[in-house]
Amino acid sequence: MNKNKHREELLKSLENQNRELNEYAHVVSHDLKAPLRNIDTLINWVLEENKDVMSESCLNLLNQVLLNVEKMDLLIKGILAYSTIDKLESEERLIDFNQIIDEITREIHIPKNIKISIIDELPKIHGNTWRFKQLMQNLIENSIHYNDKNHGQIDIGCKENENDFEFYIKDNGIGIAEKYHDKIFKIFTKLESNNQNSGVGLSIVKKIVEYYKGSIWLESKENIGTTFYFTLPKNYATA
Amino acid sequence: MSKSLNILLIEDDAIEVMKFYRVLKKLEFNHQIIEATNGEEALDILNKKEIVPDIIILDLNMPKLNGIEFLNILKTDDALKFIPAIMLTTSNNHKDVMECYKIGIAGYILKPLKYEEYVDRIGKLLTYWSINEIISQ
Repeated sequence: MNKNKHREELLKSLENQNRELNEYAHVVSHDLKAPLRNIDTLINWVLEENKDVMSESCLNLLNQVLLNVEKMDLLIKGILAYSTIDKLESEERLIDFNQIIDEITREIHIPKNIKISIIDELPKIHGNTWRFKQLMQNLIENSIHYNDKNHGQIDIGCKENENDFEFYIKDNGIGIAEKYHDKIFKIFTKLESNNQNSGVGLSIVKKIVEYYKGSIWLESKENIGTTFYFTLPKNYATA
Repeated sequence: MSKSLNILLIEDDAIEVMKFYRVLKKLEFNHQIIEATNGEEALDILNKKEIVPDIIILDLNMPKLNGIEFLNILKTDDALKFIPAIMLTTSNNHKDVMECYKIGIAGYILKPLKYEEYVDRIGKLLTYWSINEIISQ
């Protein structure tokens, strides 16, 4: 009897701690945005007022500042998104994944040499539209970003199993070496520095998939391409 | 012909206020700006009725009285509830947006990171309102 009570208390304490950490991440990221915005504004004003008398080198340095500010902003956005996933008071309804993909392809920038195709008609699943959109968008954006081929191809499909839907996103990008397959889902891990990615995208994808009690994995060959697979149980509330 | 607006700007960050003025100047708008650094100050100004604003632009995160509390007070005051209020804020939290629309706002605009995006948004916001018919006392 005592053991159960002890376990219950431990669980409650963990839940509280988790919630506090999430709120902390949310508050910190939110408060970091204001000075960042101010820095971008002030540098722009310096440029506005002085660019005619500035040397090439000086202009370059200030533009580097702006790039770094943008990078930090992406990072903060990523942390905010990550810490919000399980906090969301979810309005849940039947979400049509075909519509989600359509929205994403209309909204994000897709380079002219990359084609996105839906191979199998995607299902309608009960859940939260923001989470599902983040999930698909992050995977698609990664596929776009890490593609080096003249004709980029991203295929999206889904297989219906007895208890779940198994999605795949297949690209012909640069691929990921096997030794990194676990690492890439860790928050802040990037396999390339110097790009504008925040390194949070895949960890958000994993967190969303796990929120719905699904699983995610990948197959990949360097230089050939990568396929991400993830499952969403049919009845996650009871899974 | 586009109007010159009386704008009540409720903003506690000095640089944000500077930014607003500077953008108006850059875009060659000739609106009049009444400043308040928080909701309480704003209510004082509104209740004095010396100048009646055509639109109110406010932030969600303000000291003393936050944006939502201010909105609630505004919408329960018979004299003030019809003044269009527009949120200019950093929060894109769905809960906040919903709450504002529920109480009744005339717009909800996110403060972007980049200065040039800010210029574009403010330009569009004020151009839109200056072609609207507005209630003036």
